[in-house]
Amino acid sequence: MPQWTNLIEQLLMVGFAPAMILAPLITVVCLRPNPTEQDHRLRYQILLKQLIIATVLSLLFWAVLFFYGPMLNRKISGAFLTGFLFSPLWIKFAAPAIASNNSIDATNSTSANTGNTTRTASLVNRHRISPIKPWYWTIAISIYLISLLAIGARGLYPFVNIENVTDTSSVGATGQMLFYRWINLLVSYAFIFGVMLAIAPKKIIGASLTEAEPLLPQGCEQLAQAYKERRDWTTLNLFWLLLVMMPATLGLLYGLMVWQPRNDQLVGILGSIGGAVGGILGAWIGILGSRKRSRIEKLKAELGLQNTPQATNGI
Amino acid sequence: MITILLDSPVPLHDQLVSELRGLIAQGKLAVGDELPSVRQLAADLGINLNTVARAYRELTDAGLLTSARGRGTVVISSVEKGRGPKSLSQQRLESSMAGALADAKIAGISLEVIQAIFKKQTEIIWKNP
Repeated sequence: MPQWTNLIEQLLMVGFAPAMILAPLITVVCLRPNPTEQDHRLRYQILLKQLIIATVLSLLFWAVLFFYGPMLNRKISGAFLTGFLFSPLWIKFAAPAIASNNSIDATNSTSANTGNTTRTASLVNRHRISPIKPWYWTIAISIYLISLLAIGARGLYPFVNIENVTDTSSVGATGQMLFYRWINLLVSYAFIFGVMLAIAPKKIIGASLTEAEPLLPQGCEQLAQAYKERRDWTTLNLFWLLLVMMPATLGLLYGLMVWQPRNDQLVGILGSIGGAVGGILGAWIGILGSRKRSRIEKLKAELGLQNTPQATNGI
Repeated sequence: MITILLDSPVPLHDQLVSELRGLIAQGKLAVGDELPSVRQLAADLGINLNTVARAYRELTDAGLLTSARGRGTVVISSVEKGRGPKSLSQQRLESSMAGALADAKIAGISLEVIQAIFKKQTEIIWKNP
């Protein structure tokens, strides 16, 4: 087992829990919700104080367990499990603090025209101005096929028993177990990403492109531009995350699992890093997408107040 | 852009058809132009999918639009398919104009204003044959 994997593993074991405990507070601080209404602002300030106190207490709890707590096994200490405090910190304090930004609530309606009796829409087909270029699809399909081929090619070689070795992270396995692992990974990879690629143009990319973009009756280039920026940003990020990064990461992990069955430790480290990075990226895409929507709502409110609606039928 | 009024007594589907026909007549929607998908237009306007689908279908039946797999809904003609003899079309026009003029008179709009509106609209439509 290479030395660096041991080092990364040790860093993860020590750093995982405090990083998870700090993540909700860091997210709130980075997003800097700025509620405009007095009630919302007061609520936000209370939640932020509670979050800071809860985070400090959780870190103290982690420190106590880290220095004096029990070891659950040779590698995992009780302190490691305090990383799961992320969920209550996020659900109880961070998420409500972010949501207290009242402009985010307004983005939840399916059509921002709701409430208006005059409805205006563009006649430009957004599928034709998709930011996903045809060659992007070539990349996504190539990653899928290459990964599938790499995993599948393992079937050309015999599955032989591997013995227990001194390194505790490697386990012994019979050839039959390795065969079942291979077939299981091959079928699940082919199915999951095959289905994802098949439904992506309509269900993932299509849904992002056809998200409601109601215009103002008087028309506004600024609003159309804001929609375009949000749409392109969301669509591209969804594409790279779900159709490139995810299949590439899992393809690599599955490939390692079938070709290097002794290196479970390396697979575990890469899996945890890939999973954490993917999860954080996904969360950030969602949060930043909401912020972009809230900016559009603000812009619409400003424009709506400045102009008196009147019917038009220009393109 | 297309605009509809929810509080209008005219049904939404008729408003959509009328707006799209108007855009085609004015040349703002030319032959070969692709319309947004039913889902997109319904979402943007905040109305039912079936309302948009019905409007598209009616214009397709009239020979103005076509729906092709992979290409969406496209404008194929700026002239409606003949629906009966020409005299019948003229009869329909006379009838709808009579209704509109009667509405205008009852609403207290002067003849000069009506003539100005008529002139403006004919100029818009015949400027882009």
